[in-house]
Amino acid sequence: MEATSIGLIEPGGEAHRVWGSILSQSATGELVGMMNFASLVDLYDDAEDKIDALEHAAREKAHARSFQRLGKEMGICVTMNVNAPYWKRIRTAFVKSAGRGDFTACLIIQELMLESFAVSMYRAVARVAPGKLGRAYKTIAAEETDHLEHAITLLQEIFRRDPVGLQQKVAAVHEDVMSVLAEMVAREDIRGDCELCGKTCIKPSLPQVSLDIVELRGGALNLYLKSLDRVGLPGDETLQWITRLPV
Amino acid sequence: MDYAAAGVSAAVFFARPVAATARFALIGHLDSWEKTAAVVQTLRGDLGRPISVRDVREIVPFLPPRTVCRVTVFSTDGSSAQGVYVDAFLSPERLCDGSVRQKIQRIREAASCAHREGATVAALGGFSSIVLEGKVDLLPFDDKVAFTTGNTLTVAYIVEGVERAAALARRPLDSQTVLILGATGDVGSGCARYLLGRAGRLLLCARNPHRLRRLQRSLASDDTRVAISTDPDEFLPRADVVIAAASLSAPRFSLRLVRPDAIVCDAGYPKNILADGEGGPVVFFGGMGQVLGGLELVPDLMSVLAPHPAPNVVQGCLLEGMLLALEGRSESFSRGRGHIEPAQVDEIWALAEKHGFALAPFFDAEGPCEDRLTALAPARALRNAPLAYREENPVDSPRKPI
Repeated sequence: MEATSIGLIEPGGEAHRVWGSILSQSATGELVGMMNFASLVDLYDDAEDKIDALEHAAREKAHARSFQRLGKEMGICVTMNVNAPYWKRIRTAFVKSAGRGDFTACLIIQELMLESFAVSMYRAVARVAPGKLGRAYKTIAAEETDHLEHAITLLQEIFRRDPVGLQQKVAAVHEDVMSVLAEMVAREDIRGDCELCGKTCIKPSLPQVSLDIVELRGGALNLYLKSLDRVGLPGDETLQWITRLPV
Repeated sequence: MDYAAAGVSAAVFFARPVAATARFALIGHLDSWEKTAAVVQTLRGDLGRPISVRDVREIVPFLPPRTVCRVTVFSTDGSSAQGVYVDAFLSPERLCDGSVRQKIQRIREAASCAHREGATVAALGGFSSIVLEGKVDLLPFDDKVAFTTGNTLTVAYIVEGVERAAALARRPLDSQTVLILGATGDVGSGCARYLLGRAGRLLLCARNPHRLRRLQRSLASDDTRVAISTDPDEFLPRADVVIAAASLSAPRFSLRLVRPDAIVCDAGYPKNILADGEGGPVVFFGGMGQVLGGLELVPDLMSVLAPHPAPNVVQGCLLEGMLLALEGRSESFSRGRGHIEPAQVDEIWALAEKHGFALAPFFDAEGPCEDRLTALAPARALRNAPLAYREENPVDSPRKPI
């Protein structure tokens, strides 16, 4: 019955294409997350931390597989392309920080920035997606929320020890990563083909599945800013960062 | 978003010291998307493409309330106080409609920002006090931050402005019929109480007839001195002076029915009075003060947050918060609705004078307008009795307490 409800989406229709793109973006994002957590294994000295990072990576892989399976049930071939332009830039920023052995920067990229966007968007999709698809997004959003909360707790501690240092670090990472995420969720395609949508950008067609790119972007920025507030960063600084993002 | 091209290292660019402790917070919102776009563009600088009104309409309503800039206010007595301006990011076109619950939630979040910034007193500007109906105890951290609606100082600036404008026009206020639009609101009723013994006659206009009757009764006056109506068109042609203090999300009152020699004080935020073209009565923006000691905003948003023809001009409600901070008084000086009494107006006015928070120069949307008020003075009065009149009705005399 649940499979049927998502199977009812007419193959070849615009809504079908939109769900295909949403699942492809989600699965690719999870795959990038898996790779990022796997990269953290080398950064940790402590064995428990290494195991935790591997477990996180495994969970991200499981999420990607879930999205792939759900797509299959809907007759959609879910694309997982970590070399798609936007995702590649995000992964490159992470690898750069990992290469420097900068654990804090890695934490900010993966668990604060990417998870803020993932949690907000998965929650939005969960509200409109039919049956099993909606439930899957809701469950995964809850798991990603745990990652986000974990990051906020760690960053609060770092902020208490070195507020200026952390503020500078988040600012630098924000420039590298949030500008890419902002371009991804801009009203119109800024850089052209994202290589996950197919022939044309699906943003104008999001209302076909009761979503809207402006709402998705707004919700994601809202959660990101609230997360930064909870870490302790000054609101006037983070406001300036947001105003400088691409639109 | 090309910082490298701009020759700026992001780390250096963004690395400013973390906030120092604030003493006051000014919680407010902007009254137009154009002004919001100007603020965002200033914060954005020259990076990327210019921001449009459409961009800010799509993004800003999602931003959680937050500190926008840091403020230092300087008293003419040499003291200073530091604080922050916190924007609640209320959508200008949804100030009057839209979900009240959502708006209150935003004000609550802004109040939390004020607490996080270490403010001991916080002023609630514009609709941030209106949506709460002055019930500051609904705000979180009410026991740690003293929230004030700031309306008492707004009333002081309005009545002071009206008295001076009437003096410029050589019309004793006690001979004038004063119409108050939005009379049952906190500011409107405060003006009514203050002007009761000073204006010749009061015409009170508001939407709610029950509140109007209650206000009329509370003024304990006979109908010949205080008349009420829910229809502004009934009173507009009879007014010598109009005070517009209604809570509107956009201008609504036309002046076509107002006498061309009337004086109109538009004290609304957003403004109340429609621009009906040239040739109408003189309108000035009231309820505002000028900080003679100076104001410093970091980043410097003064010209976009307060784009007035004179420097350091700010709404009275926000100035009340700064004034209380300068005095070291962490108290909810103005709270609730309909409680502003003349004695409090005199008290806050005395503090304003002490710290050099003067009445703002007269201006309207086009610029300074004092000369147009002066031009209202009857030619005969100016020709025949200027000295005597000046002695009896000095334009710049301090307002006498009741």
